[in-house]
Amino acid sequence: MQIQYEKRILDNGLNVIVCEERSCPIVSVNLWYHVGSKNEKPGSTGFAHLFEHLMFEGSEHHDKGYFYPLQEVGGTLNGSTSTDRTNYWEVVPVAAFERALWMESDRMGFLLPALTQKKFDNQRDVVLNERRQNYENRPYGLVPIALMSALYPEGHPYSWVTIGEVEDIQNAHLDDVKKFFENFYHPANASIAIAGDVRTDEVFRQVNRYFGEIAPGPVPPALVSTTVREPTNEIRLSLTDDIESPRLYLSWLTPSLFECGDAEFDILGDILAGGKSSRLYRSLVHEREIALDVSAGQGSRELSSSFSIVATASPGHTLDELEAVIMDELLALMATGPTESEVECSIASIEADFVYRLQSVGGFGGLSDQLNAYNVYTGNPGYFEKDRDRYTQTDTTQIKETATRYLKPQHRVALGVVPETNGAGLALSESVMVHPK
Amino acid sequence: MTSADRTQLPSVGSNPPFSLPHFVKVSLSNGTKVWTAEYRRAPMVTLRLLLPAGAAVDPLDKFGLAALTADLLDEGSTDRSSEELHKALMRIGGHLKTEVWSDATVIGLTTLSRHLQEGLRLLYEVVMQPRFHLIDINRVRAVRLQRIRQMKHTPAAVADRLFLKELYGSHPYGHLGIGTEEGLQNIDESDVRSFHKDWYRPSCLTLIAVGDLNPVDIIDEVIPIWSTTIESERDSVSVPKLPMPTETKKSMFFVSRDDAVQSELRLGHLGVPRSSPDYYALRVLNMVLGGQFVSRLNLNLREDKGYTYGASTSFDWRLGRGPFSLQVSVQTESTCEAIFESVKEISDIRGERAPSFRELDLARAALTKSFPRNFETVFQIAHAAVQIALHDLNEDVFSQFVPRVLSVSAEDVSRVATEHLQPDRLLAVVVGSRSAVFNRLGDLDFGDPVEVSA
Repeated sequence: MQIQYEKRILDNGLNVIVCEERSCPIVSVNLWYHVGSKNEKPGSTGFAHLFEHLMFEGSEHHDKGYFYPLQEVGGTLNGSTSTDRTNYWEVVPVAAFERALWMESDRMGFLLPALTQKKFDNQRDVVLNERRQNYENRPYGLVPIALMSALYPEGHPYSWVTIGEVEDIQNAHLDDVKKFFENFYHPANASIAIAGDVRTDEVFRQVNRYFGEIAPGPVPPALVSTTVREPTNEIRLSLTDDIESPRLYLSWLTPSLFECGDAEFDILGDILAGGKSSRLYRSLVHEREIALDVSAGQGSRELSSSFSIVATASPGHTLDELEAVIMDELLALMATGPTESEVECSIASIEADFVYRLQSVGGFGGLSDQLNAYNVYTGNPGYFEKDRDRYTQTDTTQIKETATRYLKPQHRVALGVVPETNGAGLALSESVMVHPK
Repeated sequence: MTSADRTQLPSVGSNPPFSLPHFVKVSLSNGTKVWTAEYRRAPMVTLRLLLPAGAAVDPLDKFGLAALTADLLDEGSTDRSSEELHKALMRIGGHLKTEVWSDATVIGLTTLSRHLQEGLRLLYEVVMQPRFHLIDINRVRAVRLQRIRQMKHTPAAVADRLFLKELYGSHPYGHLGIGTEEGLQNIDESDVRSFHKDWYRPSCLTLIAVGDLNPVDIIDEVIPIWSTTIESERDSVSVPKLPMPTETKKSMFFVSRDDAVQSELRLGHLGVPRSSPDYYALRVLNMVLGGQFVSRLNLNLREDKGYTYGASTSFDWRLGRGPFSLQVSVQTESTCEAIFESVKEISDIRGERAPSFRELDLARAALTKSFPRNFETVFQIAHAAVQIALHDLNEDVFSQFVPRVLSVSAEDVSRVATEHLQPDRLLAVVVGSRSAVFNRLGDLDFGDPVEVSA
């Protein structure tokens, strides 16, 4: 799987990646700023994401909202913020390519003159509603908040979730925007990937024309991947919610993105709960019928990852029962390792996913987003082969050793969610009740 | 190098022509239709099996039968256990996905092109040779029952279910695919088997294959696998004609959710079928009203007032009259204002504030210039084929899309707005905090709200 691309770095530090893909007369413009909620400080959580919203409210030379000029030419666009990065993308018909560059470059270079208190207040309200819709008013919605603050020590940039705390969002000030913009939103902290029905030379020429004049700012110092908690005892938590079925979350800290062991955890996720032939599905859902569903997966991040197993209890069954069976299955896996056939199946499926997800030039996870991800996290946009090799070159022994090293029972965070009515007696044993907001 | 001119946006010229997918169509001797499209962008193929029976053919006392049957397909075949089937799927990187809509069931399988033959065989095994063991039926049913119970705690699911129920009553569109607790409990093994026998039969099926394939080869591969099931004794079945749903009266239904920080809202009434001659004009109208980020509704409720993360409207294009609906979650304290503004947007666009030329230009341009990007991936192309097959559309529906949309006039839009938006028939569903909003809902000109349970 060879992806042909070209990368150049402009004088102002902007990384530019171009990939020609002619199947459809469209082009994707995908821009990453290497800033996320990990760059926030306690007391101002949620700011990186709130800032992302402001990027759609107009800039100095087009102070009328970001969507109209792109939708009227048939484009689609979006953006998102994670712990590690903020991305923005447009997919437009080829004739509108220059317009997309104009829009993206104007907000990179000239956002602040167009920003007003009114826009800021409006988007703060929108973000508070986003938080209500996706966290507060959603079953199990507050779990990530409780889990992250249990997995990471106070003050660690992963100990809060990207959406942030309500109070911090409410207390955010327009004045903070300027500093954030100057620190993080400039060419030397950004990478742009363009994929589609375009000519590479012409793309470099246009990108230089639109972005070349924007002054670089200071390159933010890389945050260090700190060894986080030295766990001595497991952490056991409970929370109540307006739900029908109790749900169990088991989480461990694991190697960060692309570090040794990260890929093994993707495979472990498949072996444990990837589909109806997986160990935990067979055991919990199919044979014992004590769970309605089970999933497992590695959440890979720049500074540190976590591996989680999640299972929902069938009526009449407890979270302790689920936990006991899951831990038995885990210990069995750590004792004897996975079978060759389990690993082969998982690798076949992961390799196929590499092919499937590169079908779109744009959007979240499409070709241009992937080129930028590799570039921002490894410095090499063409990391595809190396990424894939991490899976094809591992084996049952390494997977067994990785599981044994990281999934120690005493290192786990166990969180049980139980119904707020009739939930008495269902809570996870020996757990402390928490009340995330 | 000239620097960028920031005094004006770059003008946008015309786009190059693009080619639409071409489907090669054959019929097997047993009646199964096979449509293939060659699209060699990535070494993969996606398969879709369409059968023209979905939740709308659920028996009245067995809501959920179509979806339960579909869910059971991969629980083991006559030859292999579920575990063996799923291992075989993983080995070919196979993704199996089942969707049950009101009008149809679609079973999809995606695989690498080098595994196409095995993929076709597995799809056949899953769809045509399920074992339907009682123990699996009971387990899968129990999981689905609990999912229905959980949906009562999920505001969006409560609102969707209630909206359809009140809009359609006993009409086949009045329930969700997952069905009801009562319906699921009424289903036994023989119901599943006969549903499968009635609808998963060769003469009902359309098999669609899109991707890195040769249409001639694939047909040669399909024939030996799919022709083995021969339709015997039965006459061919046809989908029962949908009854006409009854028009609603303006009314409001309320579901209490203690201390909810947002209210989940649905507003709407009956729409028109996909076959309506007003399809294109309504697509344009909906873009202006609530079908895109810069629609009136979203700009008002989100970008002006900050009541919500996002608001939208849609016409659900079905074989019969699908719903026209507005969906939004709003902060609790702005519930009444949001309903008032939503109704106002639906009413005003019919006359008082008819779409401007600028709005219409934007809507037509957004729909037509974005059109090529609907055919970028094998999934999109397969989806397009499913739409043609399900709605029995002319092959030229895609080549006609752009000219048809461009020919929609301001008068057309005004006419369809007046005819197909009916503010005096709006049905409203509110799921929210009783103490914070209920007392004020009566002032909204919907009559007294009717409180119902989730």
